[in-house]
Amino acid sequence: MNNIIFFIKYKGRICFACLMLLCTLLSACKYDDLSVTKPNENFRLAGDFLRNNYDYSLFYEALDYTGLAKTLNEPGPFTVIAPNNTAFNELGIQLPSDIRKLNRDSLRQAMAYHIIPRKLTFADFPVNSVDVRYETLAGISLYASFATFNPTYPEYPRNAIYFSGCMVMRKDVPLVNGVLQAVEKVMQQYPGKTVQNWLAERPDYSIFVAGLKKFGLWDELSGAGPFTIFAPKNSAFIEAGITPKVVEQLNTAEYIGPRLFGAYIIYGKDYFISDRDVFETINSEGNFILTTRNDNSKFTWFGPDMALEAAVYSWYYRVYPTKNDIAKSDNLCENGKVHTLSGVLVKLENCKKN
Amino acid sequence: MNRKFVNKLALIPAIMMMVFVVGCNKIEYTDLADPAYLRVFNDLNYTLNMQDKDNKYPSLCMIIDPVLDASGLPTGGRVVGDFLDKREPYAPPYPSHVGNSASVQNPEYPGKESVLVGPVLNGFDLSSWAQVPAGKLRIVFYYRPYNNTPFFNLDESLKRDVVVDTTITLGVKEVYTLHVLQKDFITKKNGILLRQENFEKLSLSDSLAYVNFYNYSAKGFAEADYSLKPQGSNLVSFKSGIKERMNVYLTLYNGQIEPTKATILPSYRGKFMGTVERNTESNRVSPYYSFPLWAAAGSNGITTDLWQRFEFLAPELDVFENPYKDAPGNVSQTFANYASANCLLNGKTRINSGSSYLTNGYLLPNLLVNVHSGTNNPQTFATVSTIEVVNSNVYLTTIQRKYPVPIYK
Repeated sequence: MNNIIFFIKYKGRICFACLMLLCTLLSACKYDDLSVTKPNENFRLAGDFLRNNYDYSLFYEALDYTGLAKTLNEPGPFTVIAPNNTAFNELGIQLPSDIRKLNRDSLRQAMAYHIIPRKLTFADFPVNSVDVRYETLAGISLYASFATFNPTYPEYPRNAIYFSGCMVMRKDVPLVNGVLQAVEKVMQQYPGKTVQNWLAERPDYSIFVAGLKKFGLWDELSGAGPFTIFAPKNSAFIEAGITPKVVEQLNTAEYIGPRLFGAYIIYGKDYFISDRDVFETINSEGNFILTTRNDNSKFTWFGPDMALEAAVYSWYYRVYPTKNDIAKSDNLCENGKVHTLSGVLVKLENCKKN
Repeated sequence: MNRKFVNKLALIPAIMMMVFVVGCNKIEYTDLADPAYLRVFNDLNYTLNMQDKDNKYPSLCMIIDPVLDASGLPTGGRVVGDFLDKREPYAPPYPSHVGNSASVQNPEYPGKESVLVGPVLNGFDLSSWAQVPAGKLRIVFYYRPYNNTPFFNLDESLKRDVVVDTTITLGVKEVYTLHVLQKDFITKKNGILLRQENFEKLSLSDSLAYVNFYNYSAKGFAEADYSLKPQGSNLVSFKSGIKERMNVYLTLYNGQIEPTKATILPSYRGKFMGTVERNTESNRVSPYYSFPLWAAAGSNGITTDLWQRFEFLAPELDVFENPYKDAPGNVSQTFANYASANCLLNGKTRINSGSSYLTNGYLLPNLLVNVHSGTNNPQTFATVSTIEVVNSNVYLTTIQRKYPVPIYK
């Protein structure tokens, strides 16, 4: 009974004490497990990421040799367009020691062209756009194209990205100071050089150059252009029976030069080898057909293949560029682009004047 | 009086005071005295292609009465219509694109930004027309990159690319449709065309569907080489465009579920509607042609399953013996002599048929609106529509009329 009286008398104080006790108990609880998932801290700096990735050992070697690897470990942000070892192998570079034999300054320029000093993920790119320019560390712009979807079938997006003609094989690899876009081709640019300079400096195209000179098609290649040139290698001409000696002895009055050598040049246009793919997606252009300049033969550019045929069907040649041809294409010069072909579009006997 | 009671009594006026203070939140409604009603379409529908690789994507920003800084850079304006993308094939009677998309891009102005829109005027729902000040206005369209950055936040170098800079004069409570279009396919000259609509002033019947036609194609497009034209397979018979002067014929089919088996209404088989001429200069309104809602035999006056096929033919061609009627299937191209559009269901349904004749129609939605209304599901209503051909694209704009209230019994 006394207890009850005591309780009634001190009801307020007891309640207050209980409340305080409850608060104490609650605040005493430790919530050790109540931490949010920690962000993954394993992303590396761009330079370190490439150093530790065997698939990019040649690219890293080139960056290290030119001092760019250090730059890539700085805060950035960077977008690294990283060519894998296969891309370098296609250009004849097999070992890290091969890299060290190259001219350091020109290699630095070439590698800096693969780094954009801002972070660009897939979501940042405008859809279905062609030749969007992004300034690189080399001081000149690269050209990015995005074949996102076919407007007829937007429900089946393709989402392909190309940097200066190189398709991105793996998008948006996260880095702590940017993002990496993986490509299988080295972007090649030649600032200050015309397509004429480019061809003249390479003995592998000497028959093509001799043919252009013979038919008066050579000099204009130093002009403003732009030009897109599919240059056949000497081996392709020799296989078709067009040897240096044959070219030397050609009688220009008997043969159609704009077809024999001019058919490899698209005048006034500036195409990457990937542009056909891009336009096939964004504009359903199945093939690209042109009439050869100053001739009546018809040039058709399918997927990666190209063909030349007579105005009235009598002959037809189609060339399938090899993987190596594609790796050595998209040489970006001041007044156009030079691509490589290991076949010819027309033979000597099809170019005789009637 | 009990002191506690007095205290409680004092609380009541205090609470009331609080309610009054909170209730005195003044709402200032945006109001525009003497507005004009304006709807803007970006008809620049050219595509990037191999021939014109360096074309700019036609994404625009419209500024009415722009405010320019000392260097001539736009910093604002009286009315701003940003992210004005290429228009969609179908412009519905009300701005449904606002709720159907998460993108900032707008297929027309007024877009997704909230603006004052038009009222129901003489029985026409003008919710797709924005209210703008009437009078003489300077209107500027700028090219803008196709991205999500608002125009005024873009880099300075991207804010000077003017497409059109001109003045327009708008009348009070008049309805206008403004088109940004390419006037010349060869020189690539762009311009605008301001059309003062008259549908709200006409006396139209409830049981007739009305449609008029325009050809706003650029000069020289129809004559241009096929390789220079857009190649999208969705363009079907419109790929080559249409010639300067074309006759328009209507065929009414009864049966939307299986369009290939639909019967043709005998009196509406290739019925001549009128003539359409190419025009990018004159703002005249084309005459409206009509067909009855209950044209099918045995119509119940509530719902009908009619759909429409419009055929555009060069004047010398016969609608029944037309050599291009199978283009672009069996006949490779039309050379701008022929084009057709199927107005079927919601404009997304392809017709699967063995012959190219029905499948070569550009897909557009039905001109008749079939919706649930009261006890009727569906009930068919007539609309007033406009079909505009711009190069190799064709666009349908449907204007909704004030329909009778649903009856539930």
